[in-house]
Amino acid sequence: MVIKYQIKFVSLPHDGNGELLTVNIYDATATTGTPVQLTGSASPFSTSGSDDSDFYTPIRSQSGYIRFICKDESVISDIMPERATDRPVTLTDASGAVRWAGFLSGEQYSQPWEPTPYSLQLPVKGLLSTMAGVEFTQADGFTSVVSLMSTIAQYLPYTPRIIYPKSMAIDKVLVSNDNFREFLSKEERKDQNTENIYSADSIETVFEEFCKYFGVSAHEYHGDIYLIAHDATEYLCSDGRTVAPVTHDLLGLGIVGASNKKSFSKFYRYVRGEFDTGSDDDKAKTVMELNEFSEYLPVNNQSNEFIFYDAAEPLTCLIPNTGDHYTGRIGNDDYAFPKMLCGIIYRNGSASYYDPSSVIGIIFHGSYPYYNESGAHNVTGQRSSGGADMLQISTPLSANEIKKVFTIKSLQDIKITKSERSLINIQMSLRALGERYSKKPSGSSDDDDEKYAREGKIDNGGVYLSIKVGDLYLTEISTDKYSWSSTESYIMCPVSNGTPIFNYLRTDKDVKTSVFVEDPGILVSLPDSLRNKLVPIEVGLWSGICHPVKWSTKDSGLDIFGNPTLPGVLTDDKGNDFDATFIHLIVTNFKISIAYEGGTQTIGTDLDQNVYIVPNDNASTYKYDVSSTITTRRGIQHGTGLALNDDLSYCATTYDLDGCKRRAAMVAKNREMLTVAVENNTAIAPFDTIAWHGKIYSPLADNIDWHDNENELKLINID
Amino acid sequence: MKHQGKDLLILLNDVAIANSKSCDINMDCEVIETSSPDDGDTKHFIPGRKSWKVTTSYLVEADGTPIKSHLSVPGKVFTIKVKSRELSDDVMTGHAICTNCKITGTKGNLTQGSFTFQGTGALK
Repeated sequence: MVIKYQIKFVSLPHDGNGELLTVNIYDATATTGTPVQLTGSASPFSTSGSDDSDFYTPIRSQSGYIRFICKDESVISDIMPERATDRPVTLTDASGAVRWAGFLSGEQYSQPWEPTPYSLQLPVKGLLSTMAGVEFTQADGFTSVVSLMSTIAQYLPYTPRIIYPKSMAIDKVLVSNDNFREFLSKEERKDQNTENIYSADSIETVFEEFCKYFGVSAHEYHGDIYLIAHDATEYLCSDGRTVAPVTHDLLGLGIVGASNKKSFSKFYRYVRGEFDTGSDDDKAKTVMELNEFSEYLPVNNQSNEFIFYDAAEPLTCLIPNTGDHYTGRIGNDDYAFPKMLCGIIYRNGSASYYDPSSVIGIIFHGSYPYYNESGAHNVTGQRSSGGADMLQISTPLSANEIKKVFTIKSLQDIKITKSERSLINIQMSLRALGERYSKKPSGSSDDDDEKYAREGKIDNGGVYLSIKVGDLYLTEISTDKYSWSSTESYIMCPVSNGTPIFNYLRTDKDVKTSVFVEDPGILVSLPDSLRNKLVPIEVGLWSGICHPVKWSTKDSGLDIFGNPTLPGVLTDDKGNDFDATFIHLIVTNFKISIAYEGGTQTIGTDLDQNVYIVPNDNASTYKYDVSSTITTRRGIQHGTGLALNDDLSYCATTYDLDGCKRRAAMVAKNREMLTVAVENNTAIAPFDTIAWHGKIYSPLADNIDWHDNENELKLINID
Repeated sequence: MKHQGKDLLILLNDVAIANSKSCDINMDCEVIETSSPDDGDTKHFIPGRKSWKVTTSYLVEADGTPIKSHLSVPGKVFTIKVKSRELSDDVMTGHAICTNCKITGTKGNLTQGSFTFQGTGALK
C-alpha cells in the first residue's frame, strides 16, 4: 500500500500560522510508487456525519469529498477504485497523525468536462460505511470487536484504535455472551436453503449488530472508532489509555454524574421488540413484556454494581397500537389506550410536568406521548436535547389491579460475601400520575372531547417497589402503613425522599406525584443469613390501585382506601363498561447497587452533606469500631449497615444468631471520632426497626412467597 | 514617441468605423481558486479562460447611415481587427458579436453612438 496522490493544504490559519494538512490517497494494490502532488481546490477536503438526528443510531458514519484541480483527464481514471477498499484516504497533520480516515468512493461523482483546469470533487466514505461493502469473513463467528477492528485495519495504512466505555468490559462480555456470538456464528449465518453457503453479512452489519446489542453508538473520530454510551463516564482505549469523556464528548452531552452511570435507562434504551435468541428453531422471539428482556440482558456484577448490557434500538412501543392490545375510545364513540405496558425512553430536559389547557391530554416537557385526536396514546417518542434519560411507562388498570411495570433480575447470582455487611440501595427518580378517561356521552359536541377525556380522575393508586434477594423479599416498611404486620406474606413499598410512604394519587386534577427521589433512594439491609450465598437479586416496580384491606394509611387523616373499589372500568351512558384508567410513570436514573463494607465511594454521597452514608472507602475504620462495640446478648454480631441520621448520629442494624434484628445507635461528629452507644441491648425482639434519616423502618421479612396472596392481591401478569 | 489615441483603429469587416471618437479593448482572464500548502490566509489562484470585449463610440452623421441601420447592428458577427495606424504589423484579428448599440441625442450636442462587441474565440 503506497500513497498514490497527495493534496497538501493549509487549514485553520489561527494565530497567523496555518496548519499543514495532507490528504493522502493510497493505492492498496501497489507496493511501490511516489506520491503525485495534486493542487487542492479552494476547499480541498470536507467531511460530514450521517444526518440521522438520532444520537443513538448504532452506526454514525462519515462521508465527505476531496476536491482538487484537475488538469489532466487521466488522473480521474487513475484515481478511481475498482473495489471499495482500493483507495484508502487519510487526512493527516504535519506530525502524521490521522485526522480522518476513509476510502475514496467509486460512487457517482460530478465532472464539469471543462477545457481548462477545473475543480473536481470526488466522494469519500468513512471507515464504517465503507465496511458495508466488505464481507464479514470470520468463519467462526464474531470473536471480539478487537478482532473486527483488526480486520478493518487490513484495509488501512494504519491500525485504528477503538474506544469503548469502561463499563462495557468488552472482551469479557463477548467471551461469555453466547447470545451474541451465536447470532453471528457460522451456523447462524448458514443459508438454510443452500447448505454450506453462508449469508454474506458485511463487516458494517456485524458491527452494527454489535452496537445494537451492547447499546452503544459507533462514531468515527480521528481515524478511530468510538463506541459511545451517553451515560458512560470513563472510556478505555484499545491502546491501553483511559479516555476521559470530557475531551471526547462527541455527542455534546456534557459530563454525566455517577448517579446516572450504568443507569437503568440504558437498560431500555436500545431494547427492541424482536430478538434473535439463537436457541430454538424460531430464531427470533418477539418480546412483549419488559421483564422478558432480562433473558437477553447479561448482567455483570462489576465494581459492586449491576451493569446492564443492553440491546437493540431505541424502544418506541413494545406493543403495537392495534388489535387486542387496545381498549377504549376510538374516534367519538370508543376509547383506545394501550392496554399493555408501553415504554418510551428518550432524553428529556427535565421530565417536568405541565398541563397546557389548550391541549387535550397530558403533555410532558419533551416528547411525552399525548392524548391525540384518535383517542390513542401516541407512544412513539422522540428525544429532546439535554437532560437525563427517562423511561416512560403507561399502565392501564382495572379495579384493584396491581400491574408489574418491570422487573430487573441479575442474570448472574450475586455473592453476598462475608465481608459484605451489605445494604442494597436502589435509586431512581420516579414521577407518577394517574389518568382517568370517561366516555363522552352521545350527543356531545366535539368541543367536549377534552372535557370528557379528562373527566375521570384517579381516586387512589400508587407505585410499589419489590426487592427480592434469593428467596427473600426485602423492603423498607413505613410505620405509616399501620396495617402491615410481620405475618403478611407480600411486601410492596413506595418510598419518597427516603421515607417509605404510601404514594397515592389524589382526586384533584393535578394527579401527579414524585416518589423515589434519585438520591438517596432507598436502602434495604440484607440479612446475615445471606452471607456467603450466591443469590439472584430482583427488583420490580409495580403500579396499581391498592387492595383496600392490605393497604391503608393514616396519613393526614385521609383514608385513601375509604372507597376501596375504584372502578378501572368506566361506564358510559348506555351502561357499557370500558377500561380507561392509567398510571403513568416516568423513571429516570435507575441504579441498583450493593453497599459493602469498604465498598466503593460511589455507593454513598458526601458525608459532610448530611445526606446518606453507607460503608465506603474508609469505612473499615469505624466499621471496626462498630463491630467491636456493639454487643448483644449473644455476643458480637455483624452489623448490616450504617446510616446517617439527621442529627449526624449513626445507626446500625445487627442480627443475633437467631436472625433477630438489633439496632445500635452511634454518635459521631466526624468519621474519626465515631463512638458507639448501644441501644436496645436487652429488648431482643424479632422485627425490630432500623432508623435511617430519622425514620424508623421495619426490618426485612423472610420466607415470603409473593404468589401466596395472588387471590387477594390480584397480580396481573401482562401477556 | 507615445502612441496616440487616434492611431488605435478598430475595423469591422476591414472597415473603420466612421467618425470614431474612442475605442476600448478589454482582454480578461478568469482565475480558479486553489488551496496551497504554503499558507492559508491568502487566496491562491491558477489562470482560467480568457475573454475579450471591444467598445467604440462615434458621431452619427445626419446625412449618413440611417439611425435604424445603426440599431440593427447588434446580433451581427463581425471580423474585428485591432490595429495600430503607425505600426503596420501590430494587428490582432478575431470574431466578435455586437451585443449593444447605443444612440444618444443631447440638445446642443451632436448625436453620439456606441457599439459593444463581445469577442468570441481568440483575438490573435
